[in-house]
Amino acid sequence: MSSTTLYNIAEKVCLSKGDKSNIHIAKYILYGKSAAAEMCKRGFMPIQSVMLDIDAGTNSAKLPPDYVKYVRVGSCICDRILELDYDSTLCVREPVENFCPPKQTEPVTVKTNYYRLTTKVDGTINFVYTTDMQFPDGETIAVTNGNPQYVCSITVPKTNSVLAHSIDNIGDCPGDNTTTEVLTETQRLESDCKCLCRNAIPAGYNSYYMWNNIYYYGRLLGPMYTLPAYRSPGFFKIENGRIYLNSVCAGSHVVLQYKSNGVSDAGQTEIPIEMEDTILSFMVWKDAFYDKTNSLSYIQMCKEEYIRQKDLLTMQTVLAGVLSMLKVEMKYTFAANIGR
Amino acid sequence: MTYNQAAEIVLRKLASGDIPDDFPVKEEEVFFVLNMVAPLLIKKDFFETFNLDRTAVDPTIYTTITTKVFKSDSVGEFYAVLPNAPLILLGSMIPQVSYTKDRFVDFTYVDSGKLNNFKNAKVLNEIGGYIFTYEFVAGCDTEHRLVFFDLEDCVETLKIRLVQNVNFSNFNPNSSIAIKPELEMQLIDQTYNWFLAQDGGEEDKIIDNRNNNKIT
Repeated sequence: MSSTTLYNIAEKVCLSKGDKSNIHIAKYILYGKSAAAEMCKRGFMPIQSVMLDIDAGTNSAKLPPDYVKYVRVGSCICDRILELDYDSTLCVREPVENFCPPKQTEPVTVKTNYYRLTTKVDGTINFVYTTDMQFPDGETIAVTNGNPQYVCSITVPKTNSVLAHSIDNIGDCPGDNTTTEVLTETQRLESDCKCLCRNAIPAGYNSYYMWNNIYYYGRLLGPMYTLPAYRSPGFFKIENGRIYLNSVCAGSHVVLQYKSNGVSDAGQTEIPIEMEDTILSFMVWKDAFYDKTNSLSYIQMCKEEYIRQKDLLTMQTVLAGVLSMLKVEMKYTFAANIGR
Repeated sequence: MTYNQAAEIVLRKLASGDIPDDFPVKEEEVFFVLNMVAPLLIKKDFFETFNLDRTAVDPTIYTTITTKVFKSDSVGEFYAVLPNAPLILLGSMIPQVSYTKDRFVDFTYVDSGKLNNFKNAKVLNEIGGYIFTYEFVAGCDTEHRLVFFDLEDCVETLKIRLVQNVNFSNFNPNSSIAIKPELEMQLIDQTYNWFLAQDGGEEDKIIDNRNNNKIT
């Protein structure tokens, strides 16, 4: 679902009214917030993404004042985000010293693959690979032209060399070289965090995405590399206006995407693109309404245009948006369960 | 048309030909009047044309300058000093700001009188890019400033596009008059008329030290 912001819509109002200096843009945004609040009452809720400081004493963060419901949550580790799962059983009243450790569950098997590393140009290329998940990319091997090397690695080997080379996965590790490592969930989580901090991708993830429009104290952050909750690398629970985390690598920040009640002070409010014309016509109507020089008929025309746009935006459209948001939540929960 | 050229035309018209060395009207006086008349003509033109078609502000009257960004030690605000007060009419012709190497980053003007209100109404956080306002500072440093909020420390210069109200502290007679070409004739006429009225004193026909020539 593509989105826009109140600022972008207000800019369009300025353009349509010939306000070259955008001097009234703040006023239009003010009207837009009223429109968003009205849409909120009709079932639509704008979505916000914010980064929150984690209180180390309780391993929790205070929710924004406009928070209604979460969409997704991620722990920020070394400027990357690891999505977390919701866990309603997380106890938030434990003493601090008993609070943080993640659950001890069944050991997890980490599979090792066999890789052929080759180069077809003169010179030596150094590859890094992983034999122990506690030390991702901890091993190094040199490869020269005409002498391919074979390694067993948990992660895909990597190199910084610009020389031509190839990395081929040729299946399971043969004979004695097969190493199957068993990690507890805590160890796996720790190794995932180490992986992230060393710019490697933890085993078990086959995709990532960029999390956009994250605000930190009102300042827009750049897009952040995010690993989705394919596995369960940690849990969170929301209770009493705070978000609680249990994760051995819960850094100092958590990133939260949530449904807002429309009166956010955390950053720009994201509006689904379908709502743009409705909010734009609301801004034009309110602007005409408060301008004493306008005739009553003009104000009425603006209002009718707003009502027309609002009617075009049927309840089905609104519900489709709500449903798609719901699907997003279900998808993450479902995927995480498979991982476990 | 430069100030020098305009002044010469006015003076030649006043002198009815070549300008003698002892001509009572000095070039500097003409510059001064030109400067006073120009904003009036822009304002008149604004109400005649801009109000009919709101896109009619002539881009040729804008000046673009590159200015240094200062950081106030006392309050930690960033500001840029303008050479003169900007000409702002009915909220149009607000100075426009951009990075020196990137024109497409948003800098949004918010009226300084409403800053607090918009902050309390949670509107400022919705504005993309940087927010700035205009301030005339009087005191030890009497300056026209654009004040910026949350600008990064690394920004050293900014490009500012504004309509200038030229004053004589930094006046250059060889610079062009920032006025639409079609208003130049009117500018010269108005300036000429100003001096003409001054010079063309009426003879006191009834010598009694009273302004009563027209009383019959």
